[in-house]
Amino acid sequence: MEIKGEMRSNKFILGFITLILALIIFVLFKSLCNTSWFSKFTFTNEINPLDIFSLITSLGVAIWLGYFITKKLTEDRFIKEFVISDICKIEEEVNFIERITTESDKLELQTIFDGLHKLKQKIERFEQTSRLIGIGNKDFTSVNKCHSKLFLITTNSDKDIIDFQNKRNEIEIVCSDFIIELRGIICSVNNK
Amino acid sequence: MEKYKINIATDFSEKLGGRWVNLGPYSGEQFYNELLLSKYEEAEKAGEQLHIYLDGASPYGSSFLDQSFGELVRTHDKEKVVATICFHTTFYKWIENFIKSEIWK
Repeated sequence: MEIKGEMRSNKFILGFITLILALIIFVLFKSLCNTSWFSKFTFTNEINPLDIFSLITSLGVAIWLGYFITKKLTEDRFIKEFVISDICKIEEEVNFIERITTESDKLELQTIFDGLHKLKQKIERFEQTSRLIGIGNKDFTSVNKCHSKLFLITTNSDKDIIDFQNKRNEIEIVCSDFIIELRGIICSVNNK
Repeated sequence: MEKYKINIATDFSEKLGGRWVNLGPYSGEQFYNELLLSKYEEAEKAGEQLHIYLDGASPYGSSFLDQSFGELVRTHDKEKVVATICFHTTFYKWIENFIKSEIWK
């Protein structure tokens, strides 16, 4: 509902600006007519039906094109923002895992696994949404590889309580690579 | 009807451990020694598939997977293992993919 309201107000603003511009051009044109250079041109005041038809047709095409282009741009922007917000949520999950593994000395394997499982679900949801919307045929292998690396490094433990003291640097590097990969996808989505 | 199958949650444990049996219960080593190895060899001898059900158990640590499914390919022919084992899961497809792409690479 909010989006439809926004689109309606965009249309009004665009229409209002177009009207103001048309008025300014008309006034400028009238004042130019009075200059010596411009007065050499002659204008006829006769109107024939073909002129009216041509005027109406041109006006209709201009309005339709303006509406169509505005609508397309608005829809494209909405889809991009929707996809980008999904990627931001994935980044939040990566940040969460980085935080809990670097701020705690020891954690239960179950806690890490739950976080990684949740992260994976979000990645899969994003992949399927991207394919559905058709926002590029980006290969998601690199994102999935980042997830596998994170899974490997955070759950490689001889027992069910994991000691992260010696793994912090490595985890930070893996998480940074992951986030950089995600930001690359954001840029490619935004530039489409 | 699947003749050879392991439902990890019901046949082994819903709560899984780490890598070594001496460092905690329900480890990958314990799973391999008590269940996976014997069932796999039976299935392979009979020329049948061993169906592994992953759902219902957690957490699947990379060390648990390596010490169980990884150990299987280290002690047996990898191609035969890949052909014999068939995973079934609704929630842990990514675990299945991890085993196939990272543990069994």
